[in-house]
Amino acid sequence: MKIRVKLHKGPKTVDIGPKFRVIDVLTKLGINSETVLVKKSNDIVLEEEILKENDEIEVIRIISGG
Amino acid sequence: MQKCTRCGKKAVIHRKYEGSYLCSSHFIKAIESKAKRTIRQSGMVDRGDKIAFALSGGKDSSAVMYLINKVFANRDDLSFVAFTIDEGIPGYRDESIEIAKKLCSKLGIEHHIFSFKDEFGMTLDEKVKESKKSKKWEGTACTYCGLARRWMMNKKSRELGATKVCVGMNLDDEIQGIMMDYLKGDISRLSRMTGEPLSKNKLFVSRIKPFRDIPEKEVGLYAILVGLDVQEDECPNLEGPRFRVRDFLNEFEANSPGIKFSTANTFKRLAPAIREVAKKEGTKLIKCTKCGEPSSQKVCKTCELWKQ
Repeated sequence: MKIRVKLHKGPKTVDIGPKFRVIDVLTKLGINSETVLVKKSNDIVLEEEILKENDEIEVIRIISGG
Repeated sequence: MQKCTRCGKKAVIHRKYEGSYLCSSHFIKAIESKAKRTIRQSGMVDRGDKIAFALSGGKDSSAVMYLINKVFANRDDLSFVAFTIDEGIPGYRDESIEIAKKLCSKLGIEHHIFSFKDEFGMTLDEKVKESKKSKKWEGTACTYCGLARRWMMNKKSRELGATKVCVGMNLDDEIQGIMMDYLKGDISRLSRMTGEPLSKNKLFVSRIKPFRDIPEKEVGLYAILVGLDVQEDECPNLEGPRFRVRDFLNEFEANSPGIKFSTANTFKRLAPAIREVAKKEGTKLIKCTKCGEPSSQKVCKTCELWKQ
């Protein structure tokens, strides 16, 4: 199953198994869920949201520094 | 789809540390109530205060200004002003200055921009290059930047006639500071994190932190849900142990929800003892002989690094 991920530094496609959740995509990308918010179809979704083939999610970095 | 524990609508957050789900409107209410409680319990706002917002244009300072402006909308005795400090970091600060200007104009808050260049004669980038070249380099760019920003924050707030300066520091910032001071064994700085200065000085404008009990992720979510612009870029100069502490705490929180709160709460319980130790060790505030700002040394660290 492929998920398209919009990241601050550009888009990525993540290939994961069926019935995967947002948190699994983040883990696969090495992103700590404490540091980001995730949107799907412009709505905030929880990390336990189950994704479908060809879903597109946007990862918004919210940790500061500076 | 997970539902809000309070009303059954679609949840936008799972607060693992308390086992609840909240929808957008209950989450916004919860954040505003919590910030109001922090303000009330710590007596952060007094009648007739003029509050200066130290507005970087990042999510924290934008959100705290938006929230204060909203929750104190009916308080005619209060007045607000905002300022942004331009360190001179090309490609980073330019964007947040635009966000800050736009937000102040939308909320009708007077806005000022003060720069390192005007105050110290050079930008942060120029200072970093100069110090490295002259081999007077002290640690990291964050050392130079943090010192100069705090120094300007106090001076400019006072010059604007503010009685309080409001910063966007959140729970994560607080516990990172506590951990850093603890790791360095700096009891004097640690005692300043207790919220009450050891010695009062009329040159100091009291800093208030209405978000100090709210996790950074929740401040970010609040900013997005109320429609504020959020800058995603990190400062290109970020370096130093503080950011390793930040990453460690986030990793720990992801695996053990609630440790950020327990760290802050333990510190609050230990605060009286920390203040006692700091008092015994004694740090007196005097006026810096160069700039006249409050300092524990004859010449303050900002003058030492930036003005010599």
